[in-house]
Amino acid sequence: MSTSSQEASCAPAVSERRQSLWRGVLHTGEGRIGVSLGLFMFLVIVLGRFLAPDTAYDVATPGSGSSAAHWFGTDALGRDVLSRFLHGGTTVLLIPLVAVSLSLLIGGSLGLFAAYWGGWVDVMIAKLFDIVLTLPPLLIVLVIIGGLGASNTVLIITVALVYAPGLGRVVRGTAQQVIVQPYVLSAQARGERDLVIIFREVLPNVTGPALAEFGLRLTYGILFVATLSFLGLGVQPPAPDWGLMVAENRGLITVAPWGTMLPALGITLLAVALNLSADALSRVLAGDELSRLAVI
Amino acid sequence: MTDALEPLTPETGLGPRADVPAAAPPAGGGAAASVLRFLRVRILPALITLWLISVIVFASTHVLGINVAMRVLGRQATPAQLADFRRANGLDRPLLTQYGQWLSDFVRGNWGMSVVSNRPVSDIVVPRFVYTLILAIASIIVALPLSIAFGIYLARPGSRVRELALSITNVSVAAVPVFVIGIVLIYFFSVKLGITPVDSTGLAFGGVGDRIAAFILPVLTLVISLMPHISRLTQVSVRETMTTPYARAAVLRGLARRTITYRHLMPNASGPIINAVALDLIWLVGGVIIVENVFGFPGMGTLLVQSIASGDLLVVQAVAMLCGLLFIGIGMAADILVVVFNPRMRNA
Repeated sequence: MSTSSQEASCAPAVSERRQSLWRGVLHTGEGRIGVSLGLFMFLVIVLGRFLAPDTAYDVATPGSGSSAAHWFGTDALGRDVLSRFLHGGTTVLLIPLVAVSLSLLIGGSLGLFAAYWGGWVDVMIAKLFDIVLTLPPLLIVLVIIGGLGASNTVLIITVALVYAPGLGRVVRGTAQQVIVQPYVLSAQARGERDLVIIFREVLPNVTGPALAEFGLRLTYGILFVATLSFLGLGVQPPAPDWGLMVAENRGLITVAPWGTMLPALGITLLAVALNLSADALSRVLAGDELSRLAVI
Repeated sequence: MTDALEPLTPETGLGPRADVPAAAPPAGGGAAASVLRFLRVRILPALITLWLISVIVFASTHVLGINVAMRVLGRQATPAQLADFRRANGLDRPLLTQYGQWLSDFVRGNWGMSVVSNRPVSDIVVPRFVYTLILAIASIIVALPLSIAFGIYLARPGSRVRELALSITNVSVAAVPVFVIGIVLIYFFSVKLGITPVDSTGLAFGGVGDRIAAFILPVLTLVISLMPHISRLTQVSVRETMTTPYARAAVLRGLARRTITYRHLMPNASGPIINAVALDLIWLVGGVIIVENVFGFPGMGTLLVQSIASGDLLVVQAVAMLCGLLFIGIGMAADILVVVFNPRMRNA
């Protein structure tokens, strides 16, 4: 067991291991459903705008139900629901993607350096992570938006800060298992510089668990940002955004339910796809001894 | 394979929730030591969290929203008027002094006047606090037994197909946004079937029946969103106790399955479950805020979002601080329940 995990962690085997991770995910029922659904939603978000019958802002009869001209009806201002849906996925995916990537960058580097240097630096960073993790995220982000106002920049930075400690903790935990491996010790004995060791030896071996955590956080992030938009404190009108559309069209739910249901379905399918894929990935990783120790 | 414990990570397949520091191991030693330990492990972090919330609230609404003066006096105020207002309200003093003053005012219940409605903030906030408290507690009371029963059902060894189907369902339900759950429930129960009110306005204007009806869908929404997580935790926890020597001994003594589950497994599995539920409260704070806004429920969540939108920062401060208090209070109540329920901790 232990020799196989050591072999798997050696530098030349990294790309091979990544391939087997990918194959492992697609081998699970969850992974197959998650990845194919995710791919479909990705195509809808990226290519949808080119298939949209109208722009997101053309107006017709307001609040009408399904018809030949407007398959999913129109919203309160008479804009075509299908067209706004096909335009509106970008912000739903892109804002959380940027925020969670930023979060990985901040949390991940803090976690990596904390694990590598150890001592009081490690203790301080770990305590910082723990404290921030006890805060209720939606409350904190709402309060900050209350002070700074709602804009995409504020949204990205606050969401990134809220998720950084969670990602940081996983990276730190994994890195702690990696830095005691013989190949890191031998690199240190060769007298290589710390930064070189961190980026060449440690980083490639924490990517698996970090990726699983990233997927999970991206799911949270999508739900979080869509929720803020739904509350009117995220993406601002008149932009087409699924979360915002749900809020805008709620009043018409009795006469034109698709205006609410279509964007709600979009957010849900995207989040479910990501959650299933992330779950499959962490199950595959849990089979791998090194990562199982680390994620806990 | 199916009845062996799966190698689960704390977050594997769990819903959209923030993770939190691992729960403390059971206490040992004498009564005095365990009280001290309780203070150190539970009360101190709770106070630190509360303090941190107060700093963030003060920093973002008082310092970042620096133009408190302009918000109160309006955009046409002259620089001289603004300066006068700042001096009169102590906004020109050092930040640390201002923070101290603000905190001591807050603790003494002196929350100021709402800029929007010109009524004392406490008059606006307190009635809504009660509704939110009822909503949060009702949801926990309904969600706990349901999710635990479902978790015990999940913990039974079954076929691979059943296991996969249940797991996919659980992970999928966990990823449905709370506001979508709420809206789908409104669509089916209120619009299509017409058996529940479309929103919670009955709470403010209706009779007793309307008031109770106003709680049905909000509570149901929160219960559905809490269930995947708690039932998964119960499943893991019960499976863990299944492998212990006392569980095997109970099986060998020929006890009924029901007796083993409820008399031998559950008391020991309940500790980790309640601990984890306490950590779920972080998520419940968010869930309540969202649900209130979906249903127009007259609680603190709707007030928070409205006052952020209208720039009523004193109300934002009071609501955020009370939400923090509520969250920490319920967390401590859950901690005490752990001690009451878990036989091993009761002896400590």
